[in-house]
Amino acid sequence: MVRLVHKQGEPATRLDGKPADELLGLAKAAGRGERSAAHALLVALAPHLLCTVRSVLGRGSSDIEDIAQEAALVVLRALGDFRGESSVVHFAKRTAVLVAMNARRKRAASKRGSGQAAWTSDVDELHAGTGDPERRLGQAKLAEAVRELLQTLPAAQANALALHCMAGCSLAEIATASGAPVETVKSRLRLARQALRQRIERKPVLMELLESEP
Amino acid sequence: MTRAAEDLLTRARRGELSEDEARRFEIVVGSSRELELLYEAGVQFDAQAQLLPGDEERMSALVAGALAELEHAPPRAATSGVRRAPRRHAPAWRFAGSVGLGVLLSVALAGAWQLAERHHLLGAAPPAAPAPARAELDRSPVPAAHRAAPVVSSSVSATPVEGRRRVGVAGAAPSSRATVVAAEPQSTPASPNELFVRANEARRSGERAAAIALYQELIDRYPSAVEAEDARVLLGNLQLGQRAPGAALGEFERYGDGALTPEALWGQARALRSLQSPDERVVLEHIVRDYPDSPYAKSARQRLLRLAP
Repeated sequence: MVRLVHKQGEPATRLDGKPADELLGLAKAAGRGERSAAHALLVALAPHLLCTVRSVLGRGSSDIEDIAQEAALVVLRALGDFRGESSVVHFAKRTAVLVAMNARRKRAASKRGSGQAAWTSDVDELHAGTGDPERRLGQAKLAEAVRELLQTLPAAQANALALHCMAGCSLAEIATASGAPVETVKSRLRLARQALRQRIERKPVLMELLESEP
Repeated sequence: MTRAAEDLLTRARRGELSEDEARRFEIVVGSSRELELLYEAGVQFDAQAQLLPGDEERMSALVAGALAELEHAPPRAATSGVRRAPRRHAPAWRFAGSVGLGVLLSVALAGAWQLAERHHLLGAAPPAAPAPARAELDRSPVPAAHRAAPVVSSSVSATPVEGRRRVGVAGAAPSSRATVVAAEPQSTPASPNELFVRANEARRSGERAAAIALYQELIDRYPSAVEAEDARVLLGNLQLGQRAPGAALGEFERYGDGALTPEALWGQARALRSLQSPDERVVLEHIVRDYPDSPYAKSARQRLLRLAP
């Protein structure tokens, strides 16, 4: 379940100690129900929401737009409780990951019976990387392997992995989003990355591609 | 403070490593294949997080849809996570009253049903054919041709749409346009908000034809409702997706001055482009001039350069 309610009284400082978030003022105003602020904030967050949801669902997914919109709604509705523990962009991105993960699970459950794949392969994402083509192919396949893994991992581990890989969340941010202690999150991530290594080791071609010199 | 290895990976991806951390990062990634894979996967996802052709339209629809829903739809507890005020327990007498009313209604309905059956058995005029289920009606395709023109004159003899009946609304509805309504019981007309919520649900579940029909119904029945205003932009976006730029243009043009004005203008520009109209330039210039900070200004400028003689 998506957990976005933040503890009261937490410090309104950023974890990375950077200067105040430029979107924080907008987020607060939007949280108070100012529609023009909500509009401006959405315009600023829309690219992040769209790209994050696309990362989770895969580029070929047909419902990226709808899920991104759902994530936008969840973000807007949760702003009243946002205390600035992270940047607004990271808050939005981790929300988008959790909403998209929920959608993935629903989709997987509905397609399990039909034998259809619950996500789409993204070899067309090849262009996204830099460096030599073989290594880029390896990286694109690695991203695909992570998505595949999300299907099989226990929900808590899958969420932790997705938040780390796709939203770039720190341990503390994942802990805030999932309502678990940092040590628990660390343990979940450790199990998830072990599973990722095992999955990749079962694919010699992928191993080879990833080990090619950059 | 020593950061956890996973946080070093995160900071490396964000470009926030200090010199010491950069050295530790090299050691950590060099000594653990698992952490290296995790980092590489993260870098790959970062690289993939870029906008693609067509994303402006998607973002426009996202902004318009989310804002409109935020304003009109009730919050959904399952996903929002927003705390709500605790529900107060209704007094017992209200509960008892509700039950009593329910029983009375049931008795009345049962009586009416028996009366209707008796009439039928005695050879009275047969009752009207039962209205098709709402969901079934909503799923029926509404040909784009019926909405190709932005304004449809009110007419009782308008071409019927399959699965629906087109109702002439002269004097009956506030709009002068013909209304496409699903055949449904007359007793409880849906409120603007109900129609809006249902249309949004249909749109979000991919039932675009049903969503179009419901937005259209909302606009036709309640043209001055707040929901109808936002519905125009959402309807226009859907119509553009259904390759009905003429109808879409009409909806975008009818949107008043509001929070979605940049979206409505961008929609107009897209519709005019589809129609190969020279007016596209005027609208694009409007966006660049009056909404330079909107996400559409950059695309509008690029498009204007391409349109330059």
